[in-house]
Amino acid sequence: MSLLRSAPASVALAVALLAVALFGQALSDANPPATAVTGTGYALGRASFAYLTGLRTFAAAVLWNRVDPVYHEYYGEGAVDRQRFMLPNMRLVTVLDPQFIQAYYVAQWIVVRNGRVDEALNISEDSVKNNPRSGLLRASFAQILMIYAHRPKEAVREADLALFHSDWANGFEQHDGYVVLRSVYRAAGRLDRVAYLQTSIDRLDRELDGVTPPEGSEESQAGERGHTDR
Amino acid sequence: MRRVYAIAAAVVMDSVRRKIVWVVVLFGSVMAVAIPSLPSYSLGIVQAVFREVALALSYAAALVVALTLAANRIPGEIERRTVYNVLSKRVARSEYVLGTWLGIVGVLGACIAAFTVVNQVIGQITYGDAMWRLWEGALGVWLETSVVAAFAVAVSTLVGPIVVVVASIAFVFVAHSRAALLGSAAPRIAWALFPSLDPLDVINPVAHGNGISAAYAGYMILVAIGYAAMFVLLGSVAFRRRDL
Amino acid sequence: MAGDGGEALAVRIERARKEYPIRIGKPKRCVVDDVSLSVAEGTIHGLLGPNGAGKTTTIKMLLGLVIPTAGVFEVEGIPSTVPVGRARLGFLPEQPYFPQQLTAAAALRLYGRLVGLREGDIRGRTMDLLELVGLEGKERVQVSKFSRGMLQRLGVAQALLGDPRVVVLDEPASGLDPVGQRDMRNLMLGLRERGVTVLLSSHQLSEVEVVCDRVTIMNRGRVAAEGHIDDLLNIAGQTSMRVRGLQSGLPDALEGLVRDVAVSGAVWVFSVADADVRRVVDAVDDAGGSIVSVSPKRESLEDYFSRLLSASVEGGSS
Repeated sequence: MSLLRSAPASVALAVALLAVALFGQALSDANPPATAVTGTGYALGRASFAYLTGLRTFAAAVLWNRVDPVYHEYYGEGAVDRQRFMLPNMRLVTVLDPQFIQAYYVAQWIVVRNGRVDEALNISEDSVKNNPRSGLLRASFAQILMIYAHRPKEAVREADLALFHSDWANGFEQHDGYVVLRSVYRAAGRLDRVAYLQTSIDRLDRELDGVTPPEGSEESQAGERGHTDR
Repeated sequence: MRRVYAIAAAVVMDSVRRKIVWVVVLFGSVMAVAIPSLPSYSLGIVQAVFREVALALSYAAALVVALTLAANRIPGEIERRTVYNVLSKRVARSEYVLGTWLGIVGVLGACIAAFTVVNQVIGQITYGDAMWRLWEGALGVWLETSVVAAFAVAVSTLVGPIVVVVASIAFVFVAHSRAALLGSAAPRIAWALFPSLDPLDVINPVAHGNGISAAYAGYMILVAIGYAAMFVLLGSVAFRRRDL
Repeated sequence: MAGDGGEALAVRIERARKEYPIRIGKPKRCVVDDVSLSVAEGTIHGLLGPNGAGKTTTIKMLLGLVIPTAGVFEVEGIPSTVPVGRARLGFLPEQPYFPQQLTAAAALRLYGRLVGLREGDIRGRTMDLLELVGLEGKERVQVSKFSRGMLQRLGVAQALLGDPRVVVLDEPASGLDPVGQRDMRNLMLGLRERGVTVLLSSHQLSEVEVVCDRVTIMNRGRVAAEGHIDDLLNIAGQTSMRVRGLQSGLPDALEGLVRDVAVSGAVWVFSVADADVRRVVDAVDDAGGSIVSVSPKRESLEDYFSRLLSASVEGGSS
């Protein structure tokens, strides 16, 4: 390594090595891979966002796990006013994860059962804006519009969207949602829709007969299939 | 070269002792396992997205390991005076710098290989695809972090760890900013002479394309060896003038 | 490479100089100024001086750890500022440190590779050295668990790994108990017997006085004195005598001939000018006393050192 003792030799060697690197660089620039090279920063940024999103939704899930036992008590004749304390948590869950359907669903009903119809409608509008394909949220929105807001035209519009342009988590949710929609259509005088839904409900009854509801679902908690109007 | 390998082996053994390396490897592996469960930002965590996130994760983890080792090794040895026992013997300072860098490169290779194996296992379990192409991405990550390690080692012969880390991060940033800094209107000679680590960034072709050719891999190796050797040389020259 | 007396030189430092810049526009600080030092082969040479004298800087320049501003540094005729010049050189730094995660054997294995020992020889040499320095049975103990004294012994072991011809020891007795210090002394004497040259930097003047053949005393970056121990410490023209049996005290004939008289029990100690030794011997004999010993008068290294440094301080302040 006596080369290093000479400053000119060291500089010359450094320049030569830089030239090697730049030569390799030029070759790679001239012969890039078929798929465009993306900056490392973009890949890192996307991955970081994915992880942050994962953390965010994980936090929402953890929070929801705290309110879930009490939430299920709602169906066990728990007093409505006892549910109010869950609302801030539910709000935080929907902020962390706007796709957390259950949080919107329960929150709007707690609010409307406490007489705050406009606020419940705001929650419903937010819920379908963030989850436009959720049949459960559309049906719930339609029901609140019909029963509490007395706006049948808008209720029917939401019911149509739930019936024809939405997805359901599972057959049980779809069955209960159709029952709700049937009551909305009946209240609005849309007997054609009622007849259509009855056919679908009967079909679902047959398909779901003997099938165990998914664990943790409302159906499993309620212990019966078929949902009464709330 | 025996002395160089002895110093490199000492660096590897010291790295095994350091908790940070194990923590990074373990944490990175856990995060890799979590990839398939991440919420999607396009159409679900399909295989291509998995490969991209996995390689980005490997890169980030390897960078942490490289900077941790490179920034602390030589300054720590000087501060603790353990360097006296080495450099008072028939060991040239350039051998010491080279051996230190080679040891770090070895540790990086082991970490990146471990990550890649973990990613392959996850890919096989989740998607039924062993994703052998990930090794092409791993090569790119290894080469790039080796260059960054060489830069950090060179700077560490003069200054302390914090300045080394800041300077290295700035180097990475600048080395990936050729397009942003020069723009498409810049003359070709400027593009050719602007030192860039972009050729080593093959995450996109590996994740979303058909990977890289053997020839391109050769170009990458040329780029990495050129830059790394230059930094090791400059570090050796700087270290020769330093009083211990 | 030969010294003035024709003896072969193991270490040669000539006109060493080290300057450190302070600030732009200010003169540089000179910590070692025109220091020359020659160490003959097979001898033990002491390098002394108060704190800040420049001893360690001089040693580090010899070892290539500090870049000299000027000067020649050679070990067995080869410049020691390049790695090949340190091939037969061993160094024990002051308060040696080792990588904490290594065991004693692993540390010596690492340094053994650095000095070029073959893999097959490293283990045997390691065990031999650990036994030599009193660390037998400790090869598997982690260095982090070593006491200060054990680290010092391990430091000596690593200095001797390459079977060096020249060994530089910086405060070798530091951290050692009296038994350890004695062992270190015996080690240095043993090295000299084998023809190994030792350059010893130490604050323990009593130790230096016992083992060193020659010393160089530095002060404020310069050589204040240099020479053979006896030449430095012997007081020229004076003889020290020990006498017993003078029942009635010192005889009158000794009046004016003796100085620095001390008596302990029945033994009288005093110093006499070389020219008066025979007259004093005759006077003691006539008084019925007997001569116990006659030897050149010598001051301790400590007294010499203190006197030298005080003189330089006064000279600097006058």
